Amino acid sequence: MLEQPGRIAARRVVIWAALTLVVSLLVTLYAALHIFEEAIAPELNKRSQLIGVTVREEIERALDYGVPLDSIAGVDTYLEGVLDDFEEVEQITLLSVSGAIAATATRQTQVPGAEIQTKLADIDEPAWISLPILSRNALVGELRLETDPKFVSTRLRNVVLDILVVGLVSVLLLFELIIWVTAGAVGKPLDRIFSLLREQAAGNFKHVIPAPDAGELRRIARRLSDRAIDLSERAGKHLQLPALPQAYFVDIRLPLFIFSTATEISGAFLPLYSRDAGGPEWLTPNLAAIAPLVAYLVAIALVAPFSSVIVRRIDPRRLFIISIPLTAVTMVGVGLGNSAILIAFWHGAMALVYALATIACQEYALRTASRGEDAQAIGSFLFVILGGAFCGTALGGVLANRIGAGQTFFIGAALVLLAGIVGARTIAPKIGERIRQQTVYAREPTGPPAGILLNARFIALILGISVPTNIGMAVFIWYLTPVALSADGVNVADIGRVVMLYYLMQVLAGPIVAQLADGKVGNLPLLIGGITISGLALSSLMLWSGFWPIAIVVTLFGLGHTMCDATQYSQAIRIAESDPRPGTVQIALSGLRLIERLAAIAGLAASVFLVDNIGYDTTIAGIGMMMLTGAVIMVLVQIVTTAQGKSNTVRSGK
Amino acid sequence: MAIVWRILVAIGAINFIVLFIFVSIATLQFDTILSGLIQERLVVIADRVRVPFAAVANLGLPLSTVRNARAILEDARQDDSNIEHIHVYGQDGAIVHSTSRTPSATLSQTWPAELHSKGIKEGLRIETENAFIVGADITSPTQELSGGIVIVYSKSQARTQVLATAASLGLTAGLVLAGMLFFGWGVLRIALSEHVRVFGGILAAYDRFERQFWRSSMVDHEGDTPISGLGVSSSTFDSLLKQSETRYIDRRDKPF
Repeated sequence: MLEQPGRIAARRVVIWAALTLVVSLLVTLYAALHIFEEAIAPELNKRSQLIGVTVREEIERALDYGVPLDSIAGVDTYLEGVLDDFEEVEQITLLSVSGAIAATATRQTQVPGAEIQTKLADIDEPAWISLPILSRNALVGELRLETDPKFVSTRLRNVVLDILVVGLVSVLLLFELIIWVTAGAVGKPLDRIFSLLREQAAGNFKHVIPAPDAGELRRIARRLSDRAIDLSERAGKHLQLPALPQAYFVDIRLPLFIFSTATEISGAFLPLYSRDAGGPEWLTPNLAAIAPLVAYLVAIALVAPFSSVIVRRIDPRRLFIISIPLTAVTMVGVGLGNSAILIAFWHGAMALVYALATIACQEYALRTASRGEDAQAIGSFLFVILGGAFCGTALGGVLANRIGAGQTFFIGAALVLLAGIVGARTIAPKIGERIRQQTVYAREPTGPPAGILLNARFIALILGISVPTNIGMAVFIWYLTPVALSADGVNVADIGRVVMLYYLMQVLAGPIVAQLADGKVGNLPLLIGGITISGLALSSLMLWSGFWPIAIVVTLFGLGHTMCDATQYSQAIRIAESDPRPGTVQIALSGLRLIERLAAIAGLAASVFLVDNIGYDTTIAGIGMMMLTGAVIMVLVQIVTTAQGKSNTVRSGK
Repeated sequence: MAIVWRILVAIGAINFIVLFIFVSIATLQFDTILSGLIQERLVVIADRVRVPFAAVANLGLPLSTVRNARAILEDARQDDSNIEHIHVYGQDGAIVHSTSRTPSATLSQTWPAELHSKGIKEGLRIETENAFIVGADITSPTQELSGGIVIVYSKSQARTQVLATAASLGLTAGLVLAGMLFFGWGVLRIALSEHVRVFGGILAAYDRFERQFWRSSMVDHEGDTPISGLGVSSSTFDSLLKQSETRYIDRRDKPF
């Protein structure tokens, strides 16, 4: 069977497609800059003329009183006042007829973000304009204005950054779309035809392939299907033969991507939104800020233990589709919320339904995964979710900046419905069961399957990796980064871009990490390395702080988290499968998810208290320390269990 | 070849949406920048115009006593052809001087009150559908409001500029899109050549198989080389096809 049919075809195309998108954006951006500069020139000209006229009037008045140009007092201060009124002027110089400088004023402040523009705009010569000063029809001096060539491009900075975000979002969307199209046109038809052929070559004529499922190979599909139809007609049965049951991971990619984008649309501003919404007296601003985050985690923690039961009862497709309208309603609820309590309630409700939908998709991913490719299956699944989170956060920041936070939630609800429509079409109703990997085990464990939770390696994994990483994500990324940046005066769109870096790292590094985990490197080095990188990055905030340091730390934390994310699930599955009791995998995964959420909740609650007492930077550094401790735990337990394993092997004489 | 078109449509659609959003945001931003610049300029003009009237107010005299007020106002108005009118109004809110012959038709009663409430530094800044309205108040040394200056500036030229910019941006985006589609088509044909080849190979193998039927000949005409790629091969396809056909015929001819 072809593995992941969409993947093969799409990878080659997607780079080129993304390239065309990026190039077209850059070219248009460059052209736009020039169009803007030309278009705004007349107005800038008028302003320069006005400056000339105004200054000239003042100076002529003084000259009328007989004061010579060189000794007019206070002109410097007056010129500085002119600079205040006209932002595009960098320098005004008053020259006497001989060319000597009588007075000058230069702008001191640097416009932040001007450095970004140097890459996009040409550095033109600073334009200067000369305005003669007349007194009673005699030329007495000259006013020279130097204007800022980056005036227009600096003002466009917000547009450029917003377009950057839209561009990145579109590249990811394009990626998913291309995977979908190529899977539908190439991968799935090939796979279906071959599967049916193999079935029929083995004598099984129970299935058909409907023509639309076969793409350009429908002639072949029709003939193969007709064999089955003919045989069933001859046997006297005139049933509608079932289509070949085929489920692929690619089926859930696009709907899950859109769904994740929609639900994460508030990533950049949720704590700020709920903090500003206020609430009853006892709700301090900090508590109000974390209320929806805590509600989210509580809801997911509540669902986690039941996930294995739910997944066994309801098939993924139905579960996903049921969640859609409910999610949309809850998002509208959050958008309408005018108190932090209401917002927390609706956000928690959304989290509940979100958990159901993502559990459905994760189950789908695991069941359609090929043998020995667990980390890659979960990795692909996380890639889609994180890609969506990335797009949603960045997009949400831009939208909230322009149309307001409440409206952004409504757009999110609309996207959720779109995800549902796509999902209804693409997700298959029936999938096969997961193939269990049988591994050789050293000792026969006894007891109920839940005992897996007491396995030493499992506990080390939880304490060393899952707990610190999740606390880091919930406290640092969801809560402290927006709040700390906002306290520094950064606007929502920029906060969105910083948080976006975290998800971007996961999107970029995820597939490679998953391959390394399944392949040569293995789970443990990645886990230990990842938690160490995250720990060092967060701890470094003791030494430096500010916009760019936080952005860099967010990126590094993203890298570290990626190295741990899918890998920890894969490692949990491996630990569980080394235990022969049935059902351990489900219990291990549910346990992992539950403890993660509980840890995140505890971390958030603790952080509110800590932030009030020791400040943002120290709290973040504390989390970093926790991570480094986790790394040490992992290393120690690994050494101990390897030693135990060796002594067991020696004892049993293998 | 259909796959090339389908992907091209996907790329084109996303490209189009992105460029459309870009042109929209850029145009809105340009509008905001231009409006801001114009209003700043008008504030400076208003500040200039109020100087002689402020001098009069400092003496405690009512503004209506400025004799060549009309000339002062006209002088300022002629600096920029877009200025529709400049009005000076007195303490009670009635217009005392104006460049317009029918001032009552253009002045809104709420402006004086707004002007006073905003304070000296802030001034009045209103944007209506067709005009920018910028004002500065004139106060006596005792901080009493003596009156104010209001400049009414037509938006038509600004609007034209914004539309022109939007058109330029749109045209540029359209050209870029067309160029990229053309380039993308070429690149996709190369990138997808293996897919096209594999599909072609499979369909060719199928055609050979069918040919055997309508020629009623069971001789293998395997003149073509087997094609493989994307994890499948046409020879596997061929053998599976023949195997399954044999099984089908067996089942079909089985006596009941």
